Amino acid sequence: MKDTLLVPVRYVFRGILFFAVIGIVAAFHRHALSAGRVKILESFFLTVLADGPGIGFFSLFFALLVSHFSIIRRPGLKTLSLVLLLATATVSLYFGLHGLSVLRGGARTGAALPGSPPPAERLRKTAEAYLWVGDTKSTPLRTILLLEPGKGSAGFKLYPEGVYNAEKETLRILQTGRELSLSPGNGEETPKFLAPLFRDVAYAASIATPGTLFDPKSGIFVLAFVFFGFSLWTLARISRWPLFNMWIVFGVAWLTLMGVRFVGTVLAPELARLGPIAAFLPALFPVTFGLVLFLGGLLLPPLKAWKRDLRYD
Amino acid sequence: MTRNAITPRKTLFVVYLGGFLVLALQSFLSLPILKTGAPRWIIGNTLVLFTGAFIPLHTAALLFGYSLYFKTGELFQESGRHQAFLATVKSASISFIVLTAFYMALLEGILPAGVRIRDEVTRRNAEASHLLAQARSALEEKRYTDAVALLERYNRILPDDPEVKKDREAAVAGSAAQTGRTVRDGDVHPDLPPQGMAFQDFLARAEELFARDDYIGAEHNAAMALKLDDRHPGPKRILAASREKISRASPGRRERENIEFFRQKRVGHDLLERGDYITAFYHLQKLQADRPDDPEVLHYLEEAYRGTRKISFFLDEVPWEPHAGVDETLLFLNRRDAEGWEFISIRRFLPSFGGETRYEKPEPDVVLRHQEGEGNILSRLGRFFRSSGSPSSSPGTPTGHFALDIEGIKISSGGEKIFHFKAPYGKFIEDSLVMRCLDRGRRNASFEPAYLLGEAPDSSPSLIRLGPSPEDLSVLSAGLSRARSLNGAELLTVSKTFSRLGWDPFPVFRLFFDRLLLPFSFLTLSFTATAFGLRLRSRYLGRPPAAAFLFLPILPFLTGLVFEVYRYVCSPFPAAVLAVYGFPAATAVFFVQQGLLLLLSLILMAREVRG
Repeated sequence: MKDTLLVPVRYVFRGILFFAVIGIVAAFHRHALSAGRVKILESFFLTVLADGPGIGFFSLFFALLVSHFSIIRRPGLKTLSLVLLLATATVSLYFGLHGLSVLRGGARTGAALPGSPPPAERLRKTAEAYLWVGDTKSTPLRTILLLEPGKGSAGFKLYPEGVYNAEKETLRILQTGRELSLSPGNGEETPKFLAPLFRDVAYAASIATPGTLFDPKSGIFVLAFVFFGFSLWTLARISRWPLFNMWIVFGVAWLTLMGVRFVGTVLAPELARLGPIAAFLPALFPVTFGLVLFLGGLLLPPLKAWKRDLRYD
Repeated sequence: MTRNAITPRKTLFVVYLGGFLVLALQSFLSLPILKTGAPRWIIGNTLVLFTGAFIPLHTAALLFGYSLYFKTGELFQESGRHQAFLATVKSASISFIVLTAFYMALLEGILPAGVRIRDEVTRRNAEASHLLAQARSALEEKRYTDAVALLERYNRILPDDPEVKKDREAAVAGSAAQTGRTVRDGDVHPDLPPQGMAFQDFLARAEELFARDDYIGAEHNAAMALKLDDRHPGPKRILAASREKISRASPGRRERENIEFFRQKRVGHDLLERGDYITAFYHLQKLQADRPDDPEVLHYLEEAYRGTRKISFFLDEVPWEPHAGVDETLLFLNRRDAEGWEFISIRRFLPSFGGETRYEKPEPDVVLRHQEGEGNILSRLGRFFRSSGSPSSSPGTPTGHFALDIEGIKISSGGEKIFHFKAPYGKFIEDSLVMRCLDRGRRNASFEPAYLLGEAPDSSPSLIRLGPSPEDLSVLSAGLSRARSLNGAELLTVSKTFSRLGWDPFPVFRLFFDRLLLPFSFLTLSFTATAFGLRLRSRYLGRPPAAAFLFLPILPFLTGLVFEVYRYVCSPFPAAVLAVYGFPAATAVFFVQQGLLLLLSLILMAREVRG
């Protein structure tokens, strides 16, 4: 019984742990990308404010999947464990995302986070051009040299002044009004395999995050995702090879998130003529998958006999 | 315990090596410019791909092997007690350490060498293709001497290419027909004059020709001897006597032509003496077209060409620009003085392998050196594995470096432009970038830098003194466009060059730590994969079903994904310390972090082994 009651506690703990780890890693990345100009703590809060819902969604959804394997391995009342897990996941995902969304909204209206301009007298490559700034101590920055690659005759351009925007990481050339992004733009920030995962998670988080405390549309999406995550329980014991089960659970979860983004961004606009229901189409994907898996799970042997057969007990 | 992973490891390595070989072959076939060097290019590319996938392949093999084959009985003694931890993991640990050393050799030696070989073969083939196209065009236009010279440069890059044999034969035969003599294959211009003729040589030749009643030749040689010593009575006497004989003889058309030819030769010589090499070159080239086998003209032409090469270069020397999908712009701080900052940008920095046109037959020792450059198998192997401090070093050393679309600017401390120029072509000669590009066939079609503002900073408007050498720029180019394929030592060299040439070295240091992370990751992830393999071991009662083996080739894709996450998680901590406290502190943090992760992986493994 103790193990059963600890299931929601462990789930929440895992969710918080994943959130903290991802947040810290992302904060250090931000800190390193700004070449130390944005302090670590500042960077952590900036990360939580900017990407909080995405990180929160991933952490809680991932914790739900990990919990399945934990329930399989540990003793306890399985049905009650799963019901408790389902309830805790729904509540924590809905309110967790809402809380993070409120934090983000507050930050938007707050003061800009402090930062500092690029280093003086150093060449650097941005996504759009090569850049060199002579004097970064003054405001606005002085003596800005730009070189746009691949433009042939465009060549060097020298501007007397520009204004650095720490929040957007841009440099605005005062003479022309052009806004130049200072991000390196070489794809080094995110590894190539992870970038699509980040995009899928960010999209799922964006549709599941409640704008207000009572947001039925987001509620439906949260329920759809939690139900789908819950139904992956079937795949967690699909074979006698846990390694395969684990990969198949995470693989199907990602494929579904990919499908959700595809339906939401590619198909839903095409099907807009269906009316307001089109907005809910992305939820159909995890719900349908979830139902298939849930019903498939009913055909599997009872858990107790399965565990005995696999010598888990 | 080790044997569980041996079969999956072998299977994955062999299957993926085969797959990468096929991929490399496919890439090779899609590049029509590659005519030779196929084995080197394909092997180089295969090794690059294999090294990149080494960690995912190994972790997949461990996960698969331990989760499918491991018997829990291996953990226990006959008495039923647990085996000692160290005894259990000893063989696995040793194999991981040995494989880590092998992986380091792949990373530090094979990967950079593979990339270098691939790039070098591509560049050499591109230049050869360009030269061949030029040679065939010269053949069509019946410019046989040019065709022979171009094919000679082509042969220096791709010796013994049977495809050009016919072109070469046609060029040699055409040249021979034009000059009315037989040219041996392999010789551009036989019967060359003695090198560096002295006063006594001219005088002796003048006397000899006068004795043979060749007064025109005698007059010319006497005049040349006088140029070297105008007080000596010998040449004065022969000159006067020859002129008298010529004036009395009332020369015919042929003699008049000879007189004019000798006069023009002396004009060429005078131009050379005045140091007007470019005018001399075009003048002598015209004479050479009239009498292609005149040894003196050839000698002077070579001298003029050598002089010209110090202050200019020819358009046909510029290597063909291979298509590049990526931006290869080179931008650097050239000079910094009290007045301001001087920047140079080069859209394309190209090494050349074909050498230059030779007007004279090369000295035997030059030919020998060229042949020795090919090397035996040991020296070739040595070059293959060589990893000097310079990322630019390659098995085929470039014979020159060229720049396309050059732009220079100097900014004063107050932020004003001091000068600004653009030039279409440039060649690196000694410590300068020479931007006067000549067309060998047309005197007036030269390319020079255009000054949009201000005046040239150095002695001539067609050159600019350079702070960095071509080797520095090769390092900068490597750092900007293919830093990920450099080894650790090369990345440290790149970081120093970056600092010197006005770049922020921070991204290079980040790449250095990323590279340093790989062998540590290999060891740590090997232990972790073993632990997870044991934890997620299969519960099949008998042999695993055949379908389970279909999962083996897919598994490296999944472990590759996890490996990317691992790298992403590990990389920001040293990078953050680097940004604030510098390189030594970041190195210390890196080693502490990796030590902790290795310890954690051992704890995970111990937990699974000890239950």
